Amino acid sequence: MPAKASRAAFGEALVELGAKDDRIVTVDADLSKSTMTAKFAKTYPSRAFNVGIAESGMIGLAAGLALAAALPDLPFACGLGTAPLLAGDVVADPLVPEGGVLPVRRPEPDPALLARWAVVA
Amino acid sequence: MANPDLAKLEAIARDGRVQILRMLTHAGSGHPGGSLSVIDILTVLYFGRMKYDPKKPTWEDRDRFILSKGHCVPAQYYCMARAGFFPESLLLTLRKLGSPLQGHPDRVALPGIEAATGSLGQGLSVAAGMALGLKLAGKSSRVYCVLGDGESQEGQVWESLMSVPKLGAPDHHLDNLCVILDYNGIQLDNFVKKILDLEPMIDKVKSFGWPVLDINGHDLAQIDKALDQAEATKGSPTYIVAHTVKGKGVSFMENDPEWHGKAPKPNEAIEAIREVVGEPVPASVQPILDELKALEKK
Repeated sequence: MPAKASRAAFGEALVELGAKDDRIVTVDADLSKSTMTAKFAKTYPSRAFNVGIAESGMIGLAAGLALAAALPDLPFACGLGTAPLLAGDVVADPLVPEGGVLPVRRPEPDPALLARWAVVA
Repeated sequence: MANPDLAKLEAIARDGRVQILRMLTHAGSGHPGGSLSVIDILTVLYFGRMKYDPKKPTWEDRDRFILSKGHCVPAQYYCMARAGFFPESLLLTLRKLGSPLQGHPDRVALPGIEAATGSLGQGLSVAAGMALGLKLAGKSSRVYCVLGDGESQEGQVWESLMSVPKLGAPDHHLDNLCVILDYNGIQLDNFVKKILDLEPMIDKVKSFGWPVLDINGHDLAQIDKALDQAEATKGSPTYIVAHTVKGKGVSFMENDPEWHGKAPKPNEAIEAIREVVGEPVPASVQPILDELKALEKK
């Protein structure tokens, strides 16, 4: 199988899934050509929502859509790959919601990562 | 609704003011001003408008309610208790460690709460998502969202105000969404117009394509009529500007920024409740005054 960009595969898979389940929708903040949801929007225009460059409103909208049970869950979020702009992080595990709750805890720096990114004079 | 029982709603709202003052006094912290400004709106929504089943809070066909100004949730807790979502005795656990009645609503902790709010400015976008989801699912349920005026300074509110009137067009217009602004004119630090004035609010919202209704948010008949109009409006969501008085019903709290986020002391609560219920004190309220009096001695 020829290799392709993961976002291209994502965009195509989304179109395939959209045919099987009409509860699948996309919500975009003017990045549909980058995240490849544009194909879905073209195929299913009444289920694609572009709210403009307004990310916080978009996240709220997506949460409301999920809460209204239009979707079984909300597994995919994609954006510009800005994380690689950082050389690295000293904390290993990001906070991820579990059962709708963010488990609040102290982000513990990983000693190995601390050593790796230590500033050397 | 046709011919709402206004006398009954008045009595429920009056009782709501008593219970808000009572629970905040027991909690020793909280937000009386905005809870008292929004209680009439919530009374009409909970006891004359929304479809829900307190014994089955996740009933699919229920109407949805989001209190975006989440810090005023004591008013909603009162309505929920009265409607039968949980026993009224739970009201006195407000803000206590481990209670499902936290200072801001928590949908995981308390069935019947639709969204965790209180991080201001988020409720409208979530309500719009719900309205869209319900439309896509072919449901006739409606979504009601109460916004604060202070929180309307948040950018996220304006993102939604811009996009929501056209969102879902042409197949899924969000005419199942009704937004109500509790326009009491005061935020935490001071009067809204002294911090960051919203005016001309009606013109601004209209310019984004919303039909806007302008009402007195303490006039139950006006609230009910506006909700009728919103329900009859097809092809567009509705935005209701409800002019209210912060601390409404308690003269020493009314229109005073000091009472945004300060709980009354027992003697203050007794004075406030006496004013709300008038003379003579109803037999049902006297035990509450006695209970607060006992609290004073502690």
